Amino acid sequence: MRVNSAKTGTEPRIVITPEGMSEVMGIGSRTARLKREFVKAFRLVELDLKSQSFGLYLGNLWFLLEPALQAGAYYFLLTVVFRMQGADATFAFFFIGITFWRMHATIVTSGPYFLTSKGYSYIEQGLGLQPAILETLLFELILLALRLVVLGGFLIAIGHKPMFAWLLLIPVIAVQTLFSMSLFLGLAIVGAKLKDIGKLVGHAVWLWWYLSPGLYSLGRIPDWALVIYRLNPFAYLMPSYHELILQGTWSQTNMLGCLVVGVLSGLALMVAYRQVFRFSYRLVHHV
Amino acid sequence: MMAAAEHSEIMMDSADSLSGAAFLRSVADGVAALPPTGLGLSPACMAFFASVAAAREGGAAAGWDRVFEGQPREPSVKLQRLVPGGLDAAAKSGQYFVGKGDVPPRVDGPGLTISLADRQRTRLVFRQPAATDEPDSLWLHLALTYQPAGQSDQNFAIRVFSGGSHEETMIRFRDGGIVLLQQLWLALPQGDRPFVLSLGICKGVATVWLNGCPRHTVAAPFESISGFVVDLMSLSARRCGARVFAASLQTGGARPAWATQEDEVFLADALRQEALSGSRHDQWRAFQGLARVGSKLPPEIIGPAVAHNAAEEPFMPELAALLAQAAGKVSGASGSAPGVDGTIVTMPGAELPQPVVKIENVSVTLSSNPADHAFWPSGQGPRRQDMKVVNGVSLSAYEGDVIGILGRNGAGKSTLLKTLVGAMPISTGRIEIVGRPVLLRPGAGMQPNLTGRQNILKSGLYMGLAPAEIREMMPEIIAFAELEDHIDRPFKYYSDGMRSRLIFSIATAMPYDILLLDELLSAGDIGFQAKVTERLDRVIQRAKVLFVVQHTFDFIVSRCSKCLVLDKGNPVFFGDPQIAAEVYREKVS
Repeated sequence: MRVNSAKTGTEPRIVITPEGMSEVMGIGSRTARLKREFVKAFRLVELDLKSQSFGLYLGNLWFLLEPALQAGAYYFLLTVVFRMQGADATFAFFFIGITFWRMHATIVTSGPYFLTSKGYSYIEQGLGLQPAILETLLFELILLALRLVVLGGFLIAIGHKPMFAWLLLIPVIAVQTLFSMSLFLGLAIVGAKLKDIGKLVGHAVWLWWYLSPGLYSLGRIPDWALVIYRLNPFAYLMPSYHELILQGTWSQTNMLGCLVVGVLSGLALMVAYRQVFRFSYRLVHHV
Repeated sequence: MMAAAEHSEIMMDSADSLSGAAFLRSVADGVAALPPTGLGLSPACMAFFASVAAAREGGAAAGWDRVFEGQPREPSVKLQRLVPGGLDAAAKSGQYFVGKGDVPPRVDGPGLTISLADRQRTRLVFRQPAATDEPDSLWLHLALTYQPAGQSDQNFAIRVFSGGSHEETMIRFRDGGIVLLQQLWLALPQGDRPFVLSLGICKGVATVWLNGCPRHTVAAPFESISGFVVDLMSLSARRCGARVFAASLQTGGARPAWATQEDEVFLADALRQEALSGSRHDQWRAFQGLARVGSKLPPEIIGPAVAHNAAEEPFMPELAALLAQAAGKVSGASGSAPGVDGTIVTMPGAELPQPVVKIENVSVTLSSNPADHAFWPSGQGPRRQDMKVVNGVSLSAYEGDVIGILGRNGAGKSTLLKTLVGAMPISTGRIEIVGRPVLLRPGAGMQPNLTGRQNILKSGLYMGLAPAEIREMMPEIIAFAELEDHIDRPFKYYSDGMRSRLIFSIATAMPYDILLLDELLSAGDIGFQAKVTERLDRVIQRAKVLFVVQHTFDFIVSRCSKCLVLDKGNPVFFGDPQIAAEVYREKVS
């Protein structure tokens, strides 16, 4: 049997020099390949999820149970331990921040280790870096989707009604993803060259969480510090999530802020993507 | 390896050269006395030997000039020659020196005879006079025959050295040919036929000529050299030896551009062999050579070549066009060719075949411990030392090629394959590939927690197949791996044999055109091995180009069209798999 989908129509011409590997192929071939890469990445993530639930009685259900248990723990702390007034509203505010921050934190903290672990493994097998990046991204997006299901469930349980404004979360999540992935790829290069950086990033991300309005509102920041505070992209992302989910609105300031963050992150991602591919060819000299 | 300073030295002045004419004439006589072949000798070859024969006493200078230089030689360039009479005289005067424990050559009639018993050695050193600066160009011309005692029973080599440096082996003599710089195999005339071997080093480039025909040019180990060492050693009880009829050391910008840069005998011989070998691009190369010199092929070459290639559809137009061109039967109409019966067959626009994989002078340099950055190193010894794990590999693979790669552990076989998929950066050279190669290794991409079925899906996805295609292939892969009862168990619970069977089955089911198999062929037990062979035959038929890294000879010799032998990263040999296997055996022993 001869299956032809492994080919891309016109045969690509690959040139490898000490500077790197370049591939000459038509636009049609490139498009078909990108489409195949996405399908492939989804399937591989699916298998990865199955692999992670190996030996568990509840299997993949744990991907839903984990955020649910986390939410339950926070709710218990606020209502039973601290006996907080208006615990439902406070809990919703906290849990929204934590849900979205977790994706960012996981992506960024894994960045310094990406090229030396998963990336290198893919490169060594001749599979290229693109599938590894796509898999990482899709895996995190799927986990975020599962966390959002849990978040939605809790919000509805405590009296919030689903709103059409929630659909506007998609562009905000896209902006956050662009931002996180640009950092991820940048840190991947730095982390391969300077492995010690991986030890620091976790602490920096932890500090960053407290410097972001996930647990408190922007109103608590003094005016004199607001200019500096606004340099943090999450100063726009977090309030956007809170506004959209809790109030069904999106203020102009936060919308514009997200737009700027999105454009800058997109540019940074393009640069980082190019650089990481260039760097990955010589990765063996750093692993 | 001995140091250059210990070498015996032979330094001749021009007067010594005169008596060498007789030996040169004997070369010509020897060739002329050979039974006429169907091909005969070309006028150019005969002209060369006539020039050799004309180099008589008293007329040698003119003769040598004609023989070794196409252009007038600079008067200042000193031409030095070694001839047996001169060698004898030089030995008596102390200019000739034999290394410690070495057996001196015997001056025997018109030649210099070297005959060695077990563990004996003879070294002839051709060195520039001490007063002479290292010239830009230094040539050694040898007219000789040699009698190998057996493939692995002797070590006959020509080495070069520069100043007081170590020696580098340039040429190693093998039965039926020579290996140049551990990279290229060049065929020699068979039997006792004398031949003239010219080796020149000029500005970092080494050139080899055989019987006046330029055969190959490669990068030399030195920019310029001080001299040559002709080194013969016996490695067994059987006697081996060589007979040197004449030798010449030549300096300056001289080139052995005599004859007419053609050697139809070699080319036609090569073509005759290659027509039978089925290696299509070798045939093409031979045709190219013939076409370049405007040779007219005799019918006994054209007939079998065309008949043999009738089945080789992809190459037929190109080969036929070259045949037509070489045969000189067609005027103007490129793309026409003589058919088997001699009639002219019109072919569509012929294009020369291009290699599918072209590797040019590829080297890989790696750090011994790239991650050793600690301020306080825990180990001892040097940190992060650069190592050349592949050194100057050049080869081309054409459609239909199955290329074996032999070498000991750490020879650079897997590293070379990794360079082809971009998994290992090259430090020099260039690789061009038409198509997308896929590297298949034991265990690559297998997830221990996934079942065999899920791993098949995963491997297929990695290799760019659609899920539907993988599902279609799945039953055949499972059946071939004989894992019907275990395919839904996690991979981690498989035995080693089951794992290797599954991996082999997946790897060989993939429909890629360029496959790189890294030690995949030893899967399963004896019963499974029989299936492996059958399966591989199908893979060979399906793939455009197959690279196979393997330690065993069976597959290399029986299935490969060519073989590369690597030793510590250096390409030792590339060519006929039989010879490659012998070269590898010799290396291992």
